[in-house]
Amino acid sequence: MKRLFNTKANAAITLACLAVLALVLPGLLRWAALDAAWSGGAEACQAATGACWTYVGEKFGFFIFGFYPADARWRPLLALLLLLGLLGGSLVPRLWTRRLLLAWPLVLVGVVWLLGGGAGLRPVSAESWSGLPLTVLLASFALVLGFPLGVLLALGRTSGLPLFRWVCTGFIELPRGLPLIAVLFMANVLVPLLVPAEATPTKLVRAYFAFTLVAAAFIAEVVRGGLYAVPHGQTEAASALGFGYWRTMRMIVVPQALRVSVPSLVNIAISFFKDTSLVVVIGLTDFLGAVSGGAHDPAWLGHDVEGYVVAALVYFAFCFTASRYAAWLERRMADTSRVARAQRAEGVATRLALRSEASIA
Amino acid sequence: MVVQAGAAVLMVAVAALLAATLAANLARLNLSGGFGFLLRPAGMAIGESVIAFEPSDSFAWAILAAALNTLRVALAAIVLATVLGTAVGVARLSPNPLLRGITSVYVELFRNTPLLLQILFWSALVLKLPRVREAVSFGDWAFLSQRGLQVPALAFDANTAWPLALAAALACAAAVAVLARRMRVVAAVFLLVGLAGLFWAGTLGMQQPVRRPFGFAGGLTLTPEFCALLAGLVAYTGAFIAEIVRGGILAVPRGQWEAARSLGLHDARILRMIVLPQTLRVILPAITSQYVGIIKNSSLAIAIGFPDLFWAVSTAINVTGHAIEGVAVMMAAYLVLTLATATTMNRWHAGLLRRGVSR
Repeated sequence: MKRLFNTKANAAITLACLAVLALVLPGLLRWAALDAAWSGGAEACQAATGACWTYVGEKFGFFIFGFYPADARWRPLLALLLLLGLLGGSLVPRLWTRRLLLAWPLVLVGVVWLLGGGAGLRPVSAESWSGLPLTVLLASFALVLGFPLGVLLALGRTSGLPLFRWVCTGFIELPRGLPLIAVLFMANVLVPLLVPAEATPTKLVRAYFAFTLVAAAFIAEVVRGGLYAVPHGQTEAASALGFGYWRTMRMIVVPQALRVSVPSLVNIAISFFKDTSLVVVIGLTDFLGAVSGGAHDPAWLGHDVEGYVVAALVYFAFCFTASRYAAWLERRMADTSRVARAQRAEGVATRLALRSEASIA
Repeated sequence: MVVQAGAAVLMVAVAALLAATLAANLARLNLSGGFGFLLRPAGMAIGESVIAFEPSDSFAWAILAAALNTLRVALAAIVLATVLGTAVGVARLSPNPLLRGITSVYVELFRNTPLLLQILFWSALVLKLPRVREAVSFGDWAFLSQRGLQVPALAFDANTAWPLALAAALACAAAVAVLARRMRVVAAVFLLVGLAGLFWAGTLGMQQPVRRPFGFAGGLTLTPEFCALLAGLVAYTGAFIAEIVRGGILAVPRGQWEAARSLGLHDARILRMIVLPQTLRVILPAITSQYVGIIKNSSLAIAIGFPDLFWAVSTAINVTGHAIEGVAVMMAAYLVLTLATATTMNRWHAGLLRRGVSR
């Protein structure tokens, strides 16, 4: 109470906040709970003045799995659980080993097999992969493929060889300066022109291509910040021991740089998870696509807002957890002495990290 | 050297291979190259535009009209998001727990959901607004309805007492000149006198929207698409800017606050005159990338049918099939916009750092 009304200005702020809450909350509560339709068919919803949660219940399967054949929904469900399990495992610093690095490609191959079928499972064409599994798959594929590429681009941009520096700078700055939709659209229309007609990749592969390029560009900038944070003495000590460039980078510099950049990398992963929703532009149906597509059902017209609210909650659950995790990781790393050293090079590193905070789209 | 030469040869080889495939594909699809298509009549209608546009106008003109739409929404979003973000960022550090709570919920909610989802949500919400007849009125100055937001417009009339208008305009110009020398109070006086003169002479007036049975007369119409896109961009980017501002304020050493308090300044004044100027130097690079983000994100307009740059170029590509040239135009246009913004802001930042003080 004392902190709410101790001065005149503070009391005014408190009253203003209460007024805003009084204006918003009752209406919201009426819409979401009191006047909402919780059961019955579409008619009950027409009669209700509030939200229509029956619609959400009816369409929830479609929101999650999209156009995937309804009798085989256990496959995307299993794929989704596998991916989420692996994601969860990757959050635990104790598990950051070579084995985890190997687990990622293996699980991704398994997921593609589960979704696509073949070798014992009924084949399902990639056209009907949709919903939440597609969202998670798109984001994780792009990040897993973009990660090594991004590290290479960062090394190229900081290398002493001008040709590599220029080319890598181009590959980093171009995707960063363009809207993500534009890159997706370009990949969609240009890739078929740049490969032989008989090898034209599917829409999904083209989307992966675009996402990977953009992910690599953003990861490269974060990793570059990390590279600057590794003290020069490390490289010098390595070359005094007779290490070559690649050995120095692989065994000394890159591991330290990556450690510093992990929180920023998590933030990039969050952005990507949100931005996979842009694939609707090239005609793929991810989770958001399925939610907005569900609103076109003639039996349930006019309930798009309810769908968006549910979608927002799902995205929020993922992204908020991940951003809390990134903050926790940052605090934890601030304690270790290795980062204390890195903070001397903070100037450059912070600047680059701040750049990466920007939304990727 | 050997490595670079080898890499150069490899890159040229890859480029040649791509070019050969491209040529073969273009020949197979019977497409010709060249930017000539830009001058052909576009044959498409643009929902809204600041310059006059007819379907018989060229693709180039259509792209320009759409690019102006992108600029319009991006500029408005940059201004509003900066104001919102700064206010929320300061509010999140308030000693008042209620204010802190409300602003924290806003920031976390809007930062952690996709922008596209937010834009679709606002767009669906605008459609649920009352019809024109029952439009929500804000003191008869602005109306909110399904047709968007109707606001008063600045009207310009050249046929009035022009000597007075000229004098007033000169006063405005003087204000700008004085401002350049950083005499802010004098500049404000000049500007006020000048604007008052213009209004009094009737050269400049406020045109109030009037409600009619089937729409509005007068004023400026902000279409539903524009409103939804703007709301999405502002709410989303505002949350990010708020976090940046909060971080920047926290980065100012506590000693600055304590020293200012011991001089007898009160908190609002310390914030405005001592802390925020120092914050600006720290946060400007991050704010720059948010501004660039707004320009890039405005391309999500395509999801709700607002005619922006991306929409115009992709439509032109779909109609004419000139994918390579169209993509080149799109890349050039967006890169010019984003690089120009980044360069201007970086120059400002460099200036702030050089001067040591920021005013």
